[in-house]
Amino acid sequence: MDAGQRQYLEQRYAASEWHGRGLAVRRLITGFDFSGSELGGWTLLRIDREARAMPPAIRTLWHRGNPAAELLSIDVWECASIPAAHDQLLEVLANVQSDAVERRDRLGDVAFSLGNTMALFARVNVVALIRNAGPTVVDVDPIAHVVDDLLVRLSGP
Amino acid sequence: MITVEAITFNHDPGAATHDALNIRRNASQTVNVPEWRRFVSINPEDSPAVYAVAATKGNQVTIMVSLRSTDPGMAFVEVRVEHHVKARAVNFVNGSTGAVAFELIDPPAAHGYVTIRDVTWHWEYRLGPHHAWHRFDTTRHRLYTVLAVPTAPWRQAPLNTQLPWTDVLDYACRWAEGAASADMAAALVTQAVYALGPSIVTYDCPGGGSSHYSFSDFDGTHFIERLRGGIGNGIYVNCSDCATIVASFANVLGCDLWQSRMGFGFGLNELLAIGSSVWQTACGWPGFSYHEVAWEAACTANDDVYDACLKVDGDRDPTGPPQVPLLPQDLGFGNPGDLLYRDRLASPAGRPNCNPQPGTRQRRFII
Repeated sequence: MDAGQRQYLEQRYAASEWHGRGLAVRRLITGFDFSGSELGGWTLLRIDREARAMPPAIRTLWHRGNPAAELLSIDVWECASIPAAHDQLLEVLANVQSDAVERRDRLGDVAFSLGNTMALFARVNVVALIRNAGPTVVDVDPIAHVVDDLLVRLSGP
Repeated sequence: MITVEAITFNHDPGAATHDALNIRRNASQTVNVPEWRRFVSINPEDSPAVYAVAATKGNQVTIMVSLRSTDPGMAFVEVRVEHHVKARAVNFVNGSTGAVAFELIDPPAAHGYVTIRDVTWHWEYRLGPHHAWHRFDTTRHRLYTVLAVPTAPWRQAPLNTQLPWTDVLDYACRWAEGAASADMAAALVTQAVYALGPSIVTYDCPGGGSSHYSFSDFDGTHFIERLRGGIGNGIYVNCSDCATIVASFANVLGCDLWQSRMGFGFGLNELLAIGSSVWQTACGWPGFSYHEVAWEAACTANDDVYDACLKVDGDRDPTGPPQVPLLPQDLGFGNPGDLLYRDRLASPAGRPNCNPQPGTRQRRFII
């Protein structure tokens, strides 16, 4: 990321308050994957595992009913450490144009959202981005919590 | 009986001055040489060839053709495709000519502008100058003309995934049909991408204007799927997606654009985001954290931009109604007060933070 943009984002999102901080009792998550049955009512349409990417990523599309209407994009990055995950959070934010995205609580260790139509969070060393990809806009909050719960279980002490 | 066995358009992978470019179909499929093979190549798209105007200018353009004869008494004939392939004599040895060079008449690139043409060639032979021509075979080809050898991310080094994709050329050449200059080609591509809204793509208001096709490589495979009516990565795009699409599709035509950012954190004038018919700051947000466009040269305030993501107000006062929609094409970025791109995009208060960031200049790898 460009140094100037990172500096802007760190200031804009008060990174000094959260970057590198996490619950020491949780262990790092490894081998996260989707089977397709995780999200009730949603069908896994596509999964691309980018194992060689840095950090490794899983990019998925899910649909409910007509895929041309209700479509969800869930991207997950598995980072090597908590600080690396927080770097990845900034990296994702560096590709979000809106200045209306805000930090939120009760999701992940650190989370950001735009209303209830986009959620971005880090849980331990994993970053998840949940957003709409179809013209019928859906509330992503319940989905984000399901994904977060999966991560919490995987990072249990 | 005489038959055409094979035609090679790209017979010199090390150059594009007398023959076609090195190409592939997409990320996973190659274009095999010879491009046309008997019993294999049926439709024009089965036999693609790309010529570059600048590289072939003033040069003879040739193809390599292999012919076969089942008549043991036929040793020496003239062969041509009227209006397309110049007649020449060929010699059959044990029924085959091997690969022989034929010169193209009026090759596609000689016209000097972007084209895509499906051609049907009727091959003819005659026994000598005083004999009549006889049609013996028909071949079909898709011939693309681009302005110059494609620039990055596209490459000409053989056997790599960044060879120009015919899947991209199928759209880029149609969008920029007739363009005789790089600026015109880039402008037509910009117009075509913006016109994909709102049905094919639309600005990502629900996701905060996040990248769906360009983080961090250009997911050209799924964007083309979307263009063809499939799901792709969904309907939403942001500025980085649009900049990447414009630069990649224009550069395959021989343009020389970058994807580069401006910022960071600036207020906006009202605009028309791709897919929207409502004048407002993007999705009603106060401003952009960053913005990205297809940009010429060093991507500075002195260089021109192409922005398929939004229309700005093109009148004398871009800060409010009434608005005249202007799609930024070959528009100087400018400095505050120049009434160029910066002034039209950013609000007066936002302009000081809407600065070119040439350090972000890139051409995303296409996958």
